[in-house]
Amino acid sequence: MNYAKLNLMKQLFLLSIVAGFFGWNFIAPTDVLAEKGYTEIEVADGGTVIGNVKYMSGSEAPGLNLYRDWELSDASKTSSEKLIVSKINNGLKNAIVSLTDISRGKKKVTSVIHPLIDQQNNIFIPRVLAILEGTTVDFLNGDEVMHNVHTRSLKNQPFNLGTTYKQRISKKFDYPEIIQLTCDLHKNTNAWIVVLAHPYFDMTDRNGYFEICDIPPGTYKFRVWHEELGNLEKEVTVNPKEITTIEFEYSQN
Amino acid sequence: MKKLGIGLCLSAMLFTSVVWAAEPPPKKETPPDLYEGTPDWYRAVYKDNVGLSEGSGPFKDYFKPQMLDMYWQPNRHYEPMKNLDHSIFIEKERRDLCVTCHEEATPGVVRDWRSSGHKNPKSTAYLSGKTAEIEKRTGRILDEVHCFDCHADTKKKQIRMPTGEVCGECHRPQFDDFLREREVGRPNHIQSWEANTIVPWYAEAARRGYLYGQHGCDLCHSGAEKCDVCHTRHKFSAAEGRQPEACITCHMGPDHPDAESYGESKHGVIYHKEEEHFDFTRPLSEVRPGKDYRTPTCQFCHMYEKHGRFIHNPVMKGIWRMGTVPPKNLEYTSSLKDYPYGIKIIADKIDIYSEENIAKRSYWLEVCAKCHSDRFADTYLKSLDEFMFQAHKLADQAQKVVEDLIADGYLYPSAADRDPYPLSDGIEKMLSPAFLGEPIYNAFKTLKGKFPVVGPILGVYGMFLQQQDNPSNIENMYNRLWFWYKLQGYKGTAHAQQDVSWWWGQAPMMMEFTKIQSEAVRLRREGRIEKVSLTK
Amino acid sequence: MKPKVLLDKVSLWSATAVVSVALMLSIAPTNVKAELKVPTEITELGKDTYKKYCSPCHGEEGGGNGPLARSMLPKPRDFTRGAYKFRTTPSGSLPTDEDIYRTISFGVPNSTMIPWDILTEEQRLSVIPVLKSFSEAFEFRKPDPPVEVGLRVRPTEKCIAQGKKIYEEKLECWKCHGIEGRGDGPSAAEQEDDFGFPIKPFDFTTGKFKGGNSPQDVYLRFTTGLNGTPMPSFAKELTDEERWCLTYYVMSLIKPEDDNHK
Repeated sequence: MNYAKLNLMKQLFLLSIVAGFFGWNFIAPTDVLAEKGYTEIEVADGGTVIGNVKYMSGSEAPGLNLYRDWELSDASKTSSEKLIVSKINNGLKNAIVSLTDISRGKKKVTSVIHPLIDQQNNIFIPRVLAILEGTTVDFLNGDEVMHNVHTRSLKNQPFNLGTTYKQRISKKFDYPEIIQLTCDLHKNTNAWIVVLAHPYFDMTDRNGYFEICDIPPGTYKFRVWHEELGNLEKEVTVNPKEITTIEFEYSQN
Repeated sequence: MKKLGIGLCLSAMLFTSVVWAAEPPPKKETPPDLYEGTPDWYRAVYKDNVGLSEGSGPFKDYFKPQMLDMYWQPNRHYEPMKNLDHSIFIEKERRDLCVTCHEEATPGVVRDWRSSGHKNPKSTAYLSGKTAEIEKRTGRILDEVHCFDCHADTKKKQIRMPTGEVCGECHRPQFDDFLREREVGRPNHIQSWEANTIVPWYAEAARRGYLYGQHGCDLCHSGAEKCDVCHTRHKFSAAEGRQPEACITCHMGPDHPDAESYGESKHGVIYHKEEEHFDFTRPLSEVRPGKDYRTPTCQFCHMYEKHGRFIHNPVMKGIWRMGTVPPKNLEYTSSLKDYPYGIKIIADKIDIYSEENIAKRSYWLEVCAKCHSDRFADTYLKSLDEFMFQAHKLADQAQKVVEDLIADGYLYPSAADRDPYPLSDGIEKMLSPAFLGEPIYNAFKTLKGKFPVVGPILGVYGMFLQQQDNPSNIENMYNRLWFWYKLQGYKGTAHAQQDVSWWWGQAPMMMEFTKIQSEAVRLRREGRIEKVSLTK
Repeated sequence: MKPKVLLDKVSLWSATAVVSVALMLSIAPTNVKAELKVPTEITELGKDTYKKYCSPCHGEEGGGNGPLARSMLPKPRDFTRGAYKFRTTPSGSLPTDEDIYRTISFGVPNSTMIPWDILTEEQRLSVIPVLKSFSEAFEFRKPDPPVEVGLRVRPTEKCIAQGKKIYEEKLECWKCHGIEGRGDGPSAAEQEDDFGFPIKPFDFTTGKFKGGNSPQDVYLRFTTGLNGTPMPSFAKELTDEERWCLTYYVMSLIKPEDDNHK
């Protein structure tokens, strides 16, 4: 057996381990994240894709909020945070739309101001954060009790740090990965950091809208990821300097 | 000067080694052997380890053992685990690691052991005394009896499940006492595995696909080599072995309702009421009846040998034994007069008034007289004898009914038209006239098992196995009468439990006798009708 | 001084010297700072050793699911994540080879992981590349440099009191580990490790610290955290002195004669 073959086998073996590992943890498959090998170019005639992600839940028609002005327990607050659907247009919040097969595109610019995940009233705010690889995220404990921030990432170095009031931790995320954050002292909450390899992504707003601009003309695969609902995929052709509108729809089953 | 210091150290070391060498060398003693005095076939069949590849007993070739038999009967069937090779721990004798790992892997076992006399053999004055005796006998210093001492097979470099022989290395007097069960023959504890596997229906049932149906057989009938059936792992408490509960997991149920009869008798009821006041830490020989025990326990009566001495087995004083063997002192009408039919491997009839049994009776009275008057106890035991004579008489009558029916050709289907006696082919092949006696052996050889077998003890096969039309209903009715109800009445009477004696014993015996008579009459009538209609 | 007295004194001193040399020698092999020759590639010896002695619990593929793992709690470590509990490196970091070697050689008290000093040093070292091969993490990352252990302070009453304050107020350790350190705090029951198995917070009263019983070991545990478990690192929260104080405080919770834990 020659060396190359051996090497290939080793990789296959590793892949199978990785696949098994993710499958076991019910985490979305790795290919939701864009592939490696991204070349930065000047995009002069880029197109824009705007769109809307919806969740059509048959039974849950928008109704009266009987609990308005009531103090909700932490648990009921978070269970609704998992799946936030606009009552106006069924738009789904906190879904991440990204291009999966783009290899050339605009410059990767990591924000100088670190995005912040705060722990307030035992809950991570925001719940979902999409960042470009190489971004540093700050974690803040806004509560007057102990928290910890516990990640279970594989490629990015995981960490589990205890924090007291107003403690701020900075962590850099270098590899594309979907990372879950938990606080072991308050098990009813968690948060997600999605690290992407290129800048073509957006997170939906409270009405499910997103916008991705400066896409070099061509046909791309667009994919939506949501922590509860999983993935949806669509192929979209982007024309120079045009706005294309697309829509993703999760159905209840 | 430094040299001097080193020299001092060295000489200190030398001195200690001299002290070690001065320990007396271990005295030679023949190693404990559970199979002492048994014939060659017995050793080969019961002792040689074959793992799970073949069975036990004379019919070992006809079945493979149940998987659990490797734990129940480790001498014969144990196989060390394959997942983790423990040989490295045994080779390097790393005693500390056993506990380190098993404290987490099987914490119950380790805690059990920690609270045992094995962990601290010198923790009390009594234990120290006992330990000193063992130390003297074995020439070993015993500050701790460790996992390694019992579980490491240093010759084969593997883990073993300890058997009575392993315990016997230190507990030799108890082992030797236990070995004496062999003197009185089956049924006993030491030969219970033999009793389990020598019966042809065990192998026949296995051959017919009912091996695991016999799980219950193996669970009790594995007491032969192992002490932990009474002194459970890993505490091996002597006090536990002195409590009635040590016996009752096996000694219960239709054939020997000892738990039920003792438990609901005045003896047992008082024991249950006042259990916490019983002092089980005292050796039986030091128990003061009325103070340490208000009523007797199983062990107190059955392990009393004679003249104030106790013996470490409960079978030595038995007269009626299990209650299955017919007494010599009766006139029989059925074939019971020929019992045991020349068969060499089952016990002869019991002479209740033999010199030996009269002596045993006096030993019983010695126990009873701790609380009862000699006259009362003697009268009670004589009543038991009378009960047993009457019960055997009744069984004899019932057996006569069945045998007459067969002799007159009314058994339906006849022996020729149904499956033979269990494992008849194997009996002929594996056993010899030396086992069975010439006539019975020849019967198997010529008739190939196509003959009816009724009554004690070989007729009991019907309670273990149903083959094609064999046994028939009437045969099993009779089995219930003599093997269940007679024995229940026996235990009810012997243990002074009136309800067991009557409603589990005498009354169902009568009712079963009714059924037998009616069934016999019906079969005869049908047979006659058939004959008439066929001749027409 | 009389010659005899002098002689006695000298011999006493020399005896002490011999004893201390012997003691040092007996300590020396366990000193992990000694040069370790860890093979860079997986060797046949490593594979054999792993298969024979590790895989029954940790599984042939290092997934922590060997045939003996079924009935074990805590479960054997799943190596596929590269999450090692006992390290000298910061929270989340991979362990150094010395860390792995140390855990193999010392074992993990209160678990079925025995000290494998029964194997030769060469065997133990040969397993390290095998373990690392199970996790992709070792391809992406390198272990961070070990954390610095600050100068030890003296375990004074005041220091222990300060440790108690940290335990009970500042870090609220008791939430998991309980006020008395029995591992029975209000959040104890719901703790899970990264592999989804329930995990019990450590009971300090047993005194059998999983990562080693020296103050430095205990110090390292809450400085580095226990990867793969809910136990976080408090690297940012405490000064060096506070850490030593907390160390002494939790060690003061040991109740060695407690029969409940035997």
